[in-house]
Amino acid sequence: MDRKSLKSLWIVACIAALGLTAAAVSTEVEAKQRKELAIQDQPGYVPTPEEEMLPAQYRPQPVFFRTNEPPGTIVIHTDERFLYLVQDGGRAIRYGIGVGRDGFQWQGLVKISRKQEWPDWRPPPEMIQRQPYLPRFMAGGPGNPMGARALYLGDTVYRIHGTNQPRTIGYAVSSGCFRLVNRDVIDLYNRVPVGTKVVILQSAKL
Amino acid sequence: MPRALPSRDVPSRHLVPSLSVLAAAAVWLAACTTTDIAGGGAAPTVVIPPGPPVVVDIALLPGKWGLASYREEKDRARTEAEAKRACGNPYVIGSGSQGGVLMHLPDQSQPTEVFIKTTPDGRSLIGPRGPVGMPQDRVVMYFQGGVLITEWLDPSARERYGTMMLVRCA
Repeated sequence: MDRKSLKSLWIVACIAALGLTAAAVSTEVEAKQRKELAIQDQPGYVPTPEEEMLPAQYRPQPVFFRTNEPPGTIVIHTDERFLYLVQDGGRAIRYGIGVGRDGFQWQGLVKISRKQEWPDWRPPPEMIQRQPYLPRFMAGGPGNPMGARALYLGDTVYRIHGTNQPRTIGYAVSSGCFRLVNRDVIDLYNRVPVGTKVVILQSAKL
Repeated sequence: MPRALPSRDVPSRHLVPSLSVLAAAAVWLAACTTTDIAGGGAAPTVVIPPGPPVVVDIALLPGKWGLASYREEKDRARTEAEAKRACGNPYVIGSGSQGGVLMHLPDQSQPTEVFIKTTPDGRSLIGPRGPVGMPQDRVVMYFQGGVLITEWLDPSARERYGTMMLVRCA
């Protein structure tokens, strides 16, 4: 092998190595984005306005969105951590959300059966076991883990609701509900009526 | 960063002598009184929210209670109903070894023996040994007909948990 061929081979190897590194970094970032957040509920905690300022990608924004669903439909992409409210003209309003942990994610087609301002909250029994001093029922209000608004999904136990933990947006943290920061869930609540179609999508994992 | 719930600190070694002194003082105090350790005119260390004078007989506290909380008066009635319903997973108040009862202080996973403390104007507080108006105290806002309503004196705990309502389980 002459010097020229060796040089070409070296360049190809470098490009391949760079490609592999980039792929590894990309996968790592993706994994990080989708990992579960080890955080417990913080009943009574009231976030500051600064905490509610989400990273740019999770703030509500108009986006192009290809779908066969009619305007007014809510489409939830669990893996993307986004909720889309379908608009006219191939567009949607996109909101950043927190989703269910592994094993608590689901897919389906439901309708909003009820809307509630400042919903109540009941800590799960395992949480009471860890923190016996917690009220078994906490009336709705600032600091309630259910946040400012709740949209009940069909006859399931799941809801689209607010949160007092803005940093959980973008993560898999819940028991199957979908959470938005309070400002965003109030915005969504004001845009959708009872009876709104909700499509929950969950991509197959390899 | 969101503020984490305070965790229970482990006392460091250099605190042990101080704790021994406190324990001795506690034993001495226990010999003086059982349910009222108001400490006379000792000034509260935190502000006590306004409310009516309430008399609490500590002997009526041990047992099972439904526990719920609310923030606004409009939610009080339905919170009471929810507290009754919570008797399926009750909050248990035990009897202490020194005449007090075993209840949890804010954010503590283990109960502490607490006592009734009274202010000169007749307010009742439930808290650990020490002066009236410690941050770990809770002030009794109502105690009648098997319903006990308290508020934490610690502003952070009060903000996070609201008004605590206990309803005696049948």
